[in-house]
Amino acid sequence: MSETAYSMADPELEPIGSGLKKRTERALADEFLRKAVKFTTEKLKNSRLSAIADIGHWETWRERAKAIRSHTIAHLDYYLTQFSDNVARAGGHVHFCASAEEAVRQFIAIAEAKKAKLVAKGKSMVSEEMHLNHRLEELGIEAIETDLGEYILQLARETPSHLIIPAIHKNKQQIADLFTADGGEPMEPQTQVLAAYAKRKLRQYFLEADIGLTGCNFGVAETGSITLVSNEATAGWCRRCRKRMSSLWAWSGLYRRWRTSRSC
Amino acid sequence: MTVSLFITCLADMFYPEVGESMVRLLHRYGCEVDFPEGQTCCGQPAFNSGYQDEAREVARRLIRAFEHSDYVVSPSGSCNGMIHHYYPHLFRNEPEWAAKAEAFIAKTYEFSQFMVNVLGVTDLDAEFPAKATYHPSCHGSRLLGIKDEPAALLKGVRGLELVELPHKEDCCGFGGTFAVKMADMSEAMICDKANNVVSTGADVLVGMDMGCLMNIEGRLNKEGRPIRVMHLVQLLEEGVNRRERNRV
Repeated sequence: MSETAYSMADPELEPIGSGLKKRTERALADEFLRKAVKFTTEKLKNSRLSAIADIGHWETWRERAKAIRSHTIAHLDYYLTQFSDNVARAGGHVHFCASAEEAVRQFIAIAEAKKAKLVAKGKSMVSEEMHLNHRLEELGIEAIETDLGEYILQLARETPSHLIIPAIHKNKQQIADLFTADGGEPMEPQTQVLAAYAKRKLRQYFLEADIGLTGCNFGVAETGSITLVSNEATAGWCRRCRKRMSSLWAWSGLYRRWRTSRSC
Repeated sequence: MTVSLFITCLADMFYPEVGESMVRLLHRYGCEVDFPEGQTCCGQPAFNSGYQDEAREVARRLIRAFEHSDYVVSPSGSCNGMIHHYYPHLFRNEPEWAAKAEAFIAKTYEFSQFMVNVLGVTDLDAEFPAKATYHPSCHGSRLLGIKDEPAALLKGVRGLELVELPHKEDCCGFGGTFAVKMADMSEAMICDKANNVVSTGADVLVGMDMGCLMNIEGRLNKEGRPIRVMHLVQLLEEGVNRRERNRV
């Protein structure tokens, strides 16, 4: 078991992209990490291959998806307007922001207008990239990551290793140490014990949160819908937050319709 | 049909025998082979390192060298990938050169594509009794979309048992300048690739890019693994010769 400190201790001191050589050396010398990455990536790759075999005609589907996406991006202004109108019709509001800074400011304005003190976040990588949590923290607004992997990293004050396997570099003992420090009582490094603790804590955050903030895998213009794939029901819980539900995402993740015709 | 050999830097400097095998195979199928001596590099090392002006100069030289060729064939998916994928980008602001680049692209082939798609050959009447596994190089498979051609050529070889390389689409860690700039990470990647090759129990690792093959062969040698590393053209030519010897 080894120490894992290659993730940024302080993002202000060591921005993403710097110190790569040093971090590479440390990561390569970490036997646990090497094994965890190998185990998980092989599992993901094999799952992908079996899903491809189940679906059939994989390359045709990919071509189709590419065509749909290219079409939507080529007419993005039109579909964004349609999306925005449909969200408004359903009682929501779409804020268009030209930069990360503008998006951060917009979210802060919403949080302040709602006098929010606690934000429950679920699977928003865009907000991670914008360093939204730090900005909220500066204003005394607590932002809690509710995806289990990201919650672990938030306690460790680290950034995700990967989009969908953010805490791959943490082993059970390290997680138990983090939860022990957080909860103030010793915790065994057992999956069930650790999961039960996280569940209890996160449920409470969901119940108390003023704002639920999620990511979005893709938006659908014809209905003004947003979609999010989750295996921990974080999206559903964020939606139930008391004052407001927000979703942050990049413009390019928009599609035209739920079902597409052959001519698309 | 006259075919011009685009030898590529690595084959020219380190593996001239790959070029020689290719020429002899092409002769067998009635191709005259010439070698325009003005050719140098495709420009990929400069391009990948961010030197676009320098890459453009090298690309112009290559295009000029093959200006009068009908067909250009190389033993590399990577160099051909550079030409097919990035020359249009390099010359996007120079219509005259963009047109020349398009004409060059239209007649330039990686070896397996030329054999299968232009000459229409999949069975070379070769014999190679061995267990082999195939590494599909990143640029060849992803940039050029070479998928079926090498498999078709290998399937036609008598006595060759082809076994699937686990996670075959993973990079071997060479990546041109990547192997130099990030040697540590590159080494970790080639160790995984070598382990996967060994796990197949194959006698031969076959590929179609000398960069990847040099990297894989180096690692296997260092580990003392008795696995032969061969370019597809070498395996095919050796197989054709064996078949002929056996017939006599």
